[in-house]
Amino acid sequence: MRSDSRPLDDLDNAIIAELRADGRVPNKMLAEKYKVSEATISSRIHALADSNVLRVIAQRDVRALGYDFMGFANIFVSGRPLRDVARDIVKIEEVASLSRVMGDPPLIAQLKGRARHHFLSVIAEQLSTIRGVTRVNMHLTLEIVRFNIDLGALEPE
Amino acid sequence: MIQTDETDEAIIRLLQVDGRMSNREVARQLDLSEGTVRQRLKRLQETKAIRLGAVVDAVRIGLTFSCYLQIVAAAPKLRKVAKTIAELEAAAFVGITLGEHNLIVMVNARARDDLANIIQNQITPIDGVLHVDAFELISNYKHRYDIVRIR
Repeated sequence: MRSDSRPLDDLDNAIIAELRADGRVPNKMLAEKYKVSEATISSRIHALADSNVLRVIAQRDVRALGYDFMGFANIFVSGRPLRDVARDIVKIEEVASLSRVMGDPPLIAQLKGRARHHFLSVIAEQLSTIRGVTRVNMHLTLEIVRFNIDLGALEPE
Repeated sequence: MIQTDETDEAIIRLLQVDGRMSNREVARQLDLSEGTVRQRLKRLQETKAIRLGAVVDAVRIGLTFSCYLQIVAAAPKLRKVAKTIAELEAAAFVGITLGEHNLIVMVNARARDDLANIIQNQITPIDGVLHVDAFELISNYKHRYDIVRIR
């Protein structure tokens, strides 16, 4: 929860709904539909992006990039501040996401790897050797049944 | 697996910064024809190498509470359980996994009560669910929404 969040008005919410349906809908069409100027639409969309509410981007497919392995790591930490450990973990390119959670493990990461030996080296040689990481408990993803890729954390800590 | 060449990569790089850049502007910056850009993007999207769309911040649209669920489901009912959970509006991710648990789920909700109700009244009672470990999300240190699994 962020205290600096600018409240969204009806026009913002309408634009969000339109862009979620079609990220490339022209400003001109939105301007005509909502009876405002194209400049207004343009500045609203920029403001939504700048305040980390919504961004229209090209997302790439992990498999098309050669990453055939995905998995979740439950990461147990001891003897070093969590924030410092997290700061080291996020530097690993193959870490797709890192969340702090309530409980033990305190950290859950989503990892990707190109092949079996690559995936193993990420876990054994990169993640597990970070100071403060005491144990890594892996779940290998066999099949993704649902993945809402239009939801994200646009403003990680 | 789809192959991309340097032209594809140059187009993708521009659209990773601003996904609303018009084909005309992409063409102008890369000294290509608008038709080439249109064709390339059509192929990249049809083969699901890329998705051009909006990504919204879950918290900023009101989905303030999130929870990782690590579930043990009875093996013969695993796929059915996964499908049932995936049909819930609150489920943002459902994956069948190999490990201590055989299902990992991410659920989002507007209120903490809703989150608890989804877990306790909608997921735990599903036939075949044997055990649910819930880890409420505190914060995200990293989230690569630019590289995802497009299905």
